[in-house]
Amino acid sequence: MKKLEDIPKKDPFIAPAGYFDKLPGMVQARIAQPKQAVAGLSILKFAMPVAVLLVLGIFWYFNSTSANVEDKLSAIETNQLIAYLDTTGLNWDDDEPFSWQPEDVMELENRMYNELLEAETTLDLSEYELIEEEI
Amino acid sequence: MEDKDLLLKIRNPETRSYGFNLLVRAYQHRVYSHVRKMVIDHDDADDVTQEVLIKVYKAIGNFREDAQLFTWIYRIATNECLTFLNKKRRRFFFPIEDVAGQLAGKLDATPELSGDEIQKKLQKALLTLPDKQRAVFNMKYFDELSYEDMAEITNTSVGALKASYHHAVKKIEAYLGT
Repeated sequence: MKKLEDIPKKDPFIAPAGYFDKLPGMVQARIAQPKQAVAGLSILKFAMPVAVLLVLGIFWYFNSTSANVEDKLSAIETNQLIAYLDTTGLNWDDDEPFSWQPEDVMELENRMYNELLEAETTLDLSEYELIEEEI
Repeated sequence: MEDKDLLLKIRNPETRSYGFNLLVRAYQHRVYSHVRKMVIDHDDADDVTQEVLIKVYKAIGNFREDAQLFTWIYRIATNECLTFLNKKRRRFFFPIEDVAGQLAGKLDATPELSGDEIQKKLQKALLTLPDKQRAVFNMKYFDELSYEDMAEITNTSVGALKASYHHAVKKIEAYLGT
């Protein structure tokens, strides 16, 4: 086995000629001009996690909302659903999507008008009687 | 110029730049030599040496004079080398052997070592050591630092450093015998 003492001790690496004349100037130049990119990177370092959390939050919110509606619908009995749809008068087998027609709007307006009229005629008039008495 | 005078100049805002320039000139050879033995390649050594000196500039305000300036600088240099080698490993997903293989390839391409087979073999033997043990060996064997100074630089006990150096020598001699 070869001994370490048998090997002449010397620094095996030599810097290129003139390197140590230039190095102080290079270091001074770097100190005088801090890197612009570093500032951008530090902003990115904080912005990236926030952006990722935001995207994850939006994804989670929409996912959980749609899952919630689906869960609620699946919990209702099919018979109850059919019974409800029968009372609304919606046609179960219609191929065309439901849309409001002008006559539907008019009918709805008429219904609301009639209901308001009925409400007015059944008002409690006792307050008016009291006022008359005071006069 | 003594370290005390250098520090006085650096701490004075009017002579800070001049004082730091003197510090760079005083320590650049030792820092480069220490770094180069760790990272092998000159361009890498140049990058790391500059980083070390910039860190020295930024942190010199925190330097306490109960330590020696050169051990403090050596400590920054050693940490910077270990960080550089770890980053290299992580960036390229290289296992330890592959980084050592890459550094050995750089040794073969180093002009100063061409024709000096025994020095090249010694350097290749050093690459078989873990980075920290290699740093310990370099500081003791090449830079001839005392164990006390090395303990200050590496924040390790003198006993642990002696054991580490002893094991390193055994491994190197075993490699040289192959």
